[in-house]
Amino acid sequence: MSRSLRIPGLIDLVRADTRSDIRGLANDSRLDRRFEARGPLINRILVERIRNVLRIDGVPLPSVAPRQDAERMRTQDALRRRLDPSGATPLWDDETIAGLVGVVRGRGGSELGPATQQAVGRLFVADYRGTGESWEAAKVLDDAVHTRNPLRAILLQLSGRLQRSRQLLADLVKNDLAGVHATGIAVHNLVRGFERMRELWSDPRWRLRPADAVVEQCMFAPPSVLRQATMPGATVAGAVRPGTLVVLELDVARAHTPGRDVELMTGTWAQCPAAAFVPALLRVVWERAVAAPATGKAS
Amino acid sequence: MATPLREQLLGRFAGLTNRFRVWYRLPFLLAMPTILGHRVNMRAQNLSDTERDPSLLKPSTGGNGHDQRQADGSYTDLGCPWMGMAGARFGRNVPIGDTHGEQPPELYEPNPRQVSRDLLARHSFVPVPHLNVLVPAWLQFMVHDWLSHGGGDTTNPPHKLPLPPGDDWPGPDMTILRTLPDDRCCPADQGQPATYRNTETHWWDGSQIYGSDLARQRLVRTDPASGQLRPDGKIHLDAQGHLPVDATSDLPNLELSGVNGSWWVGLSVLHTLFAREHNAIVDRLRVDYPTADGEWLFQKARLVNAALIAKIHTVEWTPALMNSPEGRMAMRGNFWGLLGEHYARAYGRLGDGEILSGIPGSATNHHTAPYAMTEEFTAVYRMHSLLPDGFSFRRHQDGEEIVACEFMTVAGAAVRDLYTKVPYDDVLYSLATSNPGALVLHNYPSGLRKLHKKDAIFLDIAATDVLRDRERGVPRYCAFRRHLGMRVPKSFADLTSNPDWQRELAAIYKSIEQVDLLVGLHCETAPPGFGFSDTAFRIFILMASRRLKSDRFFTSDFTPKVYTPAGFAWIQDNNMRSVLERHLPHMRPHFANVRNVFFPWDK
Repeated sequence: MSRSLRIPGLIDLVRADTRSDIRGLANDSRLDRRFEARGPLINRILVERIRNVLRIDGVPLPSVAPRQDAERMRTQDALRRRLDPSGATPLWDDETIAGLVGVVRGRGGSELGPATQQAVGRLFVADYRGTGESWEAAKVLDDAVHTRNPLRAILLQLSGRLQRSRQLLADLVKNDLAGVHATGIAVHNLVRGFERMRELWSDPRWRLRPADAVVEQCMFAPPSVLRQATMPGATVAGAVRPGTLVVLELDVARAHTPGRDVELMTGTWAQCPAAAFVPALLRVVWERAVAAPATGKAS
Repeated sequence: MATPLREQLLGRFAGLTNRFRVWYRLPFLLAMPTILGHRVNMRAQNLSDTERDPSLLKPSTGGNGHDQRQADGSYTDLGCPWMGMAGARFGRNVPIGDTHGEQPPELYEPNPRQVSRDLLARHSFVPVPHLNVLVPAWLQFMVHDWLSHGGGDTTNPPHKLPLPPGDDWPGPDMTILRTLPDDRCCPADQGQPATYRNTETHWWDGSQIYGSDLARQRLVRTDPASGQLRPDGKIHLDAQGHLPVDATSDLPNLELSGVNGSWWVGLSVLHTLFAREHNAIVDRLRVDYPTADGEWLFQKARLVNAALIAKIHTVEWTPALMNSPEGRMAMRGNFWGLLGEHYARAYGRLGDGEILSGIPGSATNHHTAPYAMTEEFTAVYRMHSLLPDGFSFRRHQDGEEIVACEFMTVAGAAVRDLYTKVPYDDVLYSLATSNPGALVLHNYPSGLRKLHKKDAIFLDIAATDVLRDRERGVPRYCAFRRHLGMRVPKSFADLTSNPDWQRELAAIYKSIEQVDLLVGLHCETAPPGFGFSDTAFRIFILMASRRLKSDRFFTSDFTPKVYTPAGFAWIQDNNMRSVLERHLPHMRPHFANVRNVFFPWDK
């Protein structure tokens, strides 16, 4: 259900956590990602956080770029085509997949983050190597965006950890903005997927089920995504005015109604460019995990 | 819509008390907020939507969707016309990811036939002395309103169950048709658990009487002699006040109704009674609206009749099965609110909340998923053990037996034959003075475990019940309770204190986790005064409220304007007792002294 929280001068927020509402809001042309500093105090703080955290050299990452941003549309479209598993370019290598299969089959869970990050990073840089350091940087960036503790957000900024982490992630993908988002933010959804896959692997019944069913179990949405109203009007979730922040609670919606339109925003202008890649990667890891000999080396 | 603070507090309170003690072991004043809190929590956590592409559903066109129910249940939610209509998918009360149907070999382990034979089969009838057989009849009357998975799947190979050694089942193995698969799938369904569609409307709209499509509705309104729709807005009954014969059925002499599958005399009695009630409502409305046409009268009477049935179920039938102060208060509170009937009738509603003044008249709310009946609700409503195997039909004047029958001779087309020997009044009297069976192990009716369908086709409904839950991905007993936030038994001894049952369970199941939901529900010790388990009750807390709370005809449109002042008063003023008094006034001495007409009547 949708709900509004409006305290004049303090906050103006609309939250939606049902699939149908999210679908309606995602396509509402009055909602965008311009993230201008307007509206009441907390709205401004939240917008400032996004503007500060998810930018490299003043340029927003494509995941928070406005709808009509020509560069965003161009790069996202190019990335979508490049990440099409049916294309000619291989999207993963045996070493990376072997690492993920090993973790799914029970090898040390601490390797999961770097292994996943490597699988994603190699979409941008052929010899990308996920390490403990790069994974830690991804956690810092994600934390800076999602933490509900304002003190922590400030601390990450003031201590310079955020800047250093962001720079490291950018260096590793040669300043590709989509790559920074993929290896710093989106990778966490994929890690949750592989964690779920580890759980499913431990239940032998799942190994008998179709891979499609496993993939659907392992698709995770970001906890929430944000939009900002650019003009006043009534939406399916309630009235908005310029500056109203609309929170699409994807994770909550997914819990009640899983589906790609929630997890990957398919069918909307903000569709994840990896919408085909993510399920394909999950599938290949699961299938290799199942096919690997029971007592042999996982590969 | 945000969860109000008071409901959030109730939810947290229930979470807290649940850690220490189950609600029925708490004092009344703590038990009630705990029950309400469980409902809050389940509304947030136990509703999942399966309808991924509603455009596949085609709501009816035409008719007045605003102040009358559509035949197919569409437009009950005006913003979401497809919601709850016939053909919409069953929802779920557990997360979608945990609803994958079981696959062989686990699907057949342990063998459902063996479960039926060794755990469920009735050895000797275990009655519930404080209830009468109108209870199972009413239950089925309601279920036929809410849900049906349709006939079995005849296009795919059936399930084949090998027979355990020494089994007397006719034939080398037992075959059970698969559940009819969902015939309307979309790309978003890929990888998701199988879904099934409800052939009836999901709403509490009397569709068992009126049908779930326009053709069926017109059929029950048609005079077979003329072949014409009755112009007076009434349901057609024959000269004796009985339901007419269904000319469209394969079974000769089967009575006609909106839903007449799995027909037996208990259903016939209630269908007949509420068809008569419909016609009485039409007569009343015509007094106030003498110029109204038959269509308008029919639709208004349907609206009133369905609401009256919902009220009876809420404030009479369910409290009979939940015969404790908490159970009665919970269900009467759903309709009248905690302030009670007297306050509501004297002063009206106090605000638009559901807790103080009840759900009828409060704001519509679907909570976290579009309204739909659920597979889990279907599963906990499997209560066939309530049915006796034998029926003794007696004269209400002197109690003398007219005829004794087994289930098969009071089922299907045999019902009309029965009425030639036993008048309707005596049938009703006999059912109302007999006891139903208890929902415990070894009490499943023998007649349903070897039900003769036709030719050489027999059904074991007990084995089918067990298989259906597994097939449709309803979690087994322990997992089911886990999803409801309930304590999970760790051993067979933890599930039941009966040492014989513990031994029998251990002989069938490898572990407590493997115990089927149906079996667990029948093993579990029910809360004091309850006719069913606490596990089932948790689903009822959620779904019984939801049937009312999601339906605008029970919430925002539960008004004299929509129902007409006379119709609205009819719902407020009547109950099962008054319905019986109206249509069978001479029977009144038999139920005048019983507190609830679902308790055994005086002989």
